[in-house]
Amino acid sequence: MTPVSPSQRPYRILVVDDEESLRITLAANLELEGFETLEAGSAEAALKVLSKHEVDLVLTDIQMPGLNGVELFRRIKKSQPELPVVMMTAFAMEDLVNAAMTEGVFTVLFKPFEVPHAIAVLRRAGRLPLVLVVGEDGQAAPTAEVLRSSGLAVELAKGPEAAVAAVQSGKVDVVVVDVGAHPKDAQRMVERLRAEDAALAIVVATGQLRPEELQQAVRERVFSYVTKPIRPPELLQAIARARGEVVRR
Amino acid sequence: MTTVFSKDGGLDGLWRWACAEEQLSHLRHDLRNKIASVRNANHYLTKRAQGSDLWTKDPRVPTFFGIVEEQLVAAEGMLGQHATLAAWVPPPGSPASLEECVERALAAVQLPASVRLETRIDTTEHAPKLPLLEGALLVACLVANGVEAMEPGGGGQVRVRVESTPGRAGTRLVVEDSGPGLTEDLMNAATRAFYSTKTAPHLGLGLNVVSRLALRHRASLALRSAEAANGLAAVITFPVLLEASGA
Repeated sequence: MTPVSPSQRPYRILVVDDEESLRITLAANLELEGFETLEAGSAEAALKVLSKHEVDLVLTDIQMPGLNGVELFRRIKKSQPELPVVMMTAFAMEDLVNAAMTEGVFTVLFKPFEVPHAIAVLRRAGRLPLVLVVGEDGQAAPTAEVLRSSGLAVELAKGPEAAVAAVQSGKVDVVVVDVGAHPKDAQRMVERLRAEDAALAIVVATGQLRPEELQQAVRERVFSYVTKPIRPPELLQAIARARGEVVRR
Repeated sequence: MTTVFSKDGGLDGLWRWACAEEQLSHLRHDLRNKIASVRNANHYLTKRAQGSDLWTKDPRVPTFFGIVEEQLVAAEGMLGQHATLAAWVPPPGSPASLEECVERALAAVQLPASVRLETRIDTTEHAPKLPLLEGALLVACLVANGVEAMEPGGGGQVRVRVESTPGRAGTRLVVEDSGPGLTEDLMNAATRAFYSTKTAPHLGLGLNVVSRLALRHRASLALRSAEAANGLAAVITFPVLLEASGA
């Protein structure tokens, strides 16, 4: 379902890309799906649009002449920290992609993408979902704090019951499970959360599972993982990547 | 950067490969953007046409819309598969310390007599190991860039430092020159492909190659003003090794 803005007007997306053909064709598809769109051909023009119009989400290219998409994101974060930003790139690998994901961008779409996939991601971003961090307090609380300081909306759950309740609220789209001393318990919790919401993205932070077990789980899309001790940039990137997948089970 | 590393065949081969791959990566980028535009347009037209007589009265219409999409997807696949030199990457060398990489790089870079070179290597067990040629190319590109930053015939100094501290700070490779330095705008522009601050013809790929090599080893490149002089400092920050941090 296409989200609506808090003031009940059509959900408004600002599309920023210096490639005019890409910008106008993408905007046309978004309008077909019920979104309202504004367009800007550069980051500088986008900032002008944002100063004059209320916008619910920004969809921006990364590589642009003048200010790039990451610099645009940094400026948006200062003036409108709640505004979700989704980025797009035609590069498979670049510093800027990692920088964007590390600094709290919702996700990065890799061009050329399927239009229905992009729309599913934008709808997900439009719901302003929460990241749920689950684990023992001493370990999970600092992780949650790191994510909050990068601008993500985060909730903390100290055990399986609280985690399930949070997922049942429908507000969570990514769960970070901090595997403590009992990996089997964590595994059972992952299965339980999956049963609650098959589309949930799960990122496991572990220092205990064997590499082959981890790779198997990733192949089966059970979860993605980061190794402990958790490095904030790696975790932020894992969350952003998971949000770009929008798995339908 | 116009530099070639003709004194070191292995390094020169990797440099040439990296430049070619960088150019191909920009070609892939531009073509992906074009393919994406046409696919977006086709998606829109398909959706609009589905509700019209055109779609139902002439069976070739949905077929042809389908062909456009299929062919574009196939073209994108071919781009990723064939417009790359990934399969021909020269052997990057066996794992070596940053000290060994610096040593190999400095032997390959042609230093004018007017340029002084100073090195300070401070490594610990936390410092990363890189494939020798990749690490050497990374250092060599930065040193060559520093040398080229000097006024022609004017001389100056290039400093290479490796700083490694225990804990979560990681290891830093810093290459500083005593050239005229860059403004903040030029620093942002300097890491763009095919961009050069020099007046003579340059490929403008040196820092791109460095950035890509750094990224392969989960490191990052940052430019800032040099501490000791007016020049430029290129800083590569490597992450803390997992094994060293006790994971």
